[in-house]
Amino acid sequence: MKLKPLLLILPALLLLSIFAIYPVFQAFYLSLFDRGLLKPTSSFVGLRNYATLFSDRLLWNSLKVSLIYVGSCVAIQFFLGLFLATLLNSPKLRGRDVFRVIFIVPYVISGLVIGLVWAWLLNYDFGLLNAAIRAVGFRRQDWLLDTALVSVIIAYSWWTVSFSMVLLESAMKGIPEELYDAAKIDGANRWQSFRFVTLPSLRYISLLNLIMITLFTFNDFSIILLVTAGGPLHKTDVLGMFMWRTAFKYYDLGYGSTVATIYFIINIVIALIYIRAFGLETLGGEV
Amino acid sequence: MKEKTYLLLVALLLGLLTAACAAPTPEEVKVTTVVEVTKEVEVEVIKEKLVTPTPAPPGPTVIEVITQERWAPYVEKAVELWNTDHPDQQVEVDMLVLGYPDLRSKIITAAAGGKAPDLSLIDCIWVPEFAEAQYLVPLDELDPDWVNDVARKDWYEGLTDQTSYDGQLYGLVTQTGTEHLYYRKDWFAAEGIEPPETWDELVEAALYFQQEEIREKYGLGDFSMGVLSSVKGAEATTVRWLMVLWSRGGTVFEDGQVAISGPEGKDALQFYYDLVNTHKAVSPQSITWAWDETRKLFGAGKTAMFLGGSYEWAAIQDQTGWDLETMKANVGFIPMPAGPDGNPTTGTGGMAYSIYRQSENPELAFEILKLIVGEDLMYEFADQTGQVPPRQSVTEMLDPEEDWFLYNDAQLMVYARPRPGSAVYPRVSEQVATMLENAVGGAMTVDEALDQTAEAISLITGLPRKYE
Repeated sequence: MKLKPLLLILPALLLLSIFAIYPVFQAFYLSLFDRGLLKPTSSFVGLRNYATLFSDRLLWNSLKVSLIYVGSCVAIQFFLGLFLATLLNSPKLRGRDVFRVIFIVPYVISGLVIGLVWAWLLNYDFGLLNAAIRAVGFRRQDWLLDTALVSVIIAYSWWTVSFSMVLLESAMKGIPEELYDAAKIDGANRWQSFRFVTLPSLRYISLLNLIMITLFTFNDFSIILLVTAGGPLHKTDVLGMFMWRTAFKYYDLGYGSTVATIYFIINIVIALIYIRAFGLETLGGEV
Repeated sequence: MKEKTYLLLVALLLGLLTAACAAPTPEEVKVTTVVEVTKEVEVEVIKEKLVTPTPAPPGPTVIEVITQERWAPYVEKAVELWNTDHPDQQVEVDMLVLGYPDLRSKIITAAAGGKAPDLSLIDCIWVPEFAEAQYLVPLDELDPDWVNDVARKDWYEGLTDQTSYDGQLYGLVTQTGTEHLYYRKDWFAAEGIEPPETWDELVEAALYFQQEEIREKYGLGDFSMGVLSSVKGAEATTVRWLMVLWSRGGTVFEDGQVAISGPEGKDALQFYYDLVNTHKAVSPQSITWAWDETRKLFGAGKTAMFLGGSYEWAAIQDQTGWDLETMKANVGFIPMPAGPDGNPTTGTGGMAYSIYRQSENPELAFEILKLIVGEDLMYEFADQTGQVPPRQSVTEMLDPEEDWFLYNDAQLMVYARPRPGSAVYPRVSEQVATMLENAVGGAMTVDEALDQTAEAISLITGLPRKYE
């Protein structure tokens, strides 16, 4: 290994160490203490915070909710993104740039605005959605009551689907036209071309995309915070909400850091699962 | 070469990580800063000795204040008053103006980092919590005579209770108001219904306006009343239900024990449950509402009553576009009607100013605070912002005609009860809101929700349960 490349990555490594690696170790360190910003003293408690956490039924509820939320959002983002990318990549599509802009617009809007807009859209009494439903003669729906989780899944997916779309569309543009020509000569129809040429060519970018959207979705709870605040009845209480509430609402740094450490471990596990599933060589590593 | 490079990298990373693990706590950072400042001061002293034999007259003392926008001009006015009266001890104010959502986190992180302001505005329900964390200085320590002769006598008792901890006063409330029952005075009058004085009368009124023909007549929505039972509604959810509990004669704590799950608590929770699920006078959506949803529905003419705060009067006026005379004719507000064996009750609260232990000039900060909450500035603040003054002497200055709303809201202060003065009140409050959401939403029975909440509050506070 030469020194020059190392020197070049050193600034990034330093920043990563300060802003990513250091907080992880600091969070683990804090998780061993009974410490809060509103506690005058701090004491070492070893793994007691972990024992408390694993017996906290709200943790298991938030893990279940997170699994459903992240799984659904990622599936919608990925498959809808793939569908939209395929449409945008179609040579027959007119006004491609207009559609692309329309699809990308939500993604460039801040999560705060998106959250507030969806909170209003889904409001039972004053929301646009129920007003539209009533206008065509149907009963209003309790979007934020029994179907609160579905509502926030749709809101989040609507906001972020264009990320997958852009990644996949740009990768589709890089697939050599000759491959499609060859498939055509071999008698492949459009579905077969898509199945045997497009999809395999998207393997690398799909892995990258899936890792990114899974981690983004898992770590982002801004929409939930604004639309449902984790309720009702903890139905939308994802792990991020649980951690935020503990650390930044109760200012219980010790317990909040314990949740954060578990949160970090789950993030690593998610990344490892994807890498194993797709094979390390997909990312250019050694098998 | 390859091995050396790896070693270098590993060493670098290890160094970073070791530094991370051994990172100083905020207290340690504070000590380091003090040492540095001391060195600077020493250098300054040496310079002064060498260059200027006679010290220059001291500059103004800087008082750091964290406050909110509506309060900020009155801090400046107080400082102006001080500077006019004290030409030899001038004060300069360094003010940070924040919105309510940022106030708590900013103050807590500043205090935890050793950089608390001299004086700040805080919600009065945070006072015991901040006092327990030893961030605040008891005002009795600074000027016991003033505290006993003025603060404890002139401020409404419920408000000094709210800002006291372990028998000492830690904050002075700047404005107040009541939580009460709003009702459509014009509709009640047109239907010949008297404003409710008991729970039964309240239910009767709600059911009357729940009738389909009455709802159609006044353009009401699907439900005649608005009460919050959501965790999302935060403190508003809790304080309004506490009002119901108090009106039944119950409390959260009694004789150093958790008493929420007693018969009064059960009745109060059942009352909420019934309003939604039995009488169907309140929307089941109430477990999802934000704190101001009840006011929005009332302002839109969709409900005939709601439990709300006096701070929502102006918002109702904005929403309806009514002038004061129309508001007086259409909107009434009364205490929460009495429950069985209980009394009519209102809730109360407000923003208070407190002084921090880390302040370098706590006595001077207190003198400025006395001016901020002085009778003249307090009256001006109340008049300009539509907030009820927390001092009885200032309330007496209100004109029944010119200050109609303030004057009448102030009359409800005699029914007011303070919220529990616990150092962990915000967590207790969240448990109460969770209990309401669970019981009203049907996730638990009333008994289960009460039992779980009493247990949780007992764990949080370390107090035993009165009712198992």
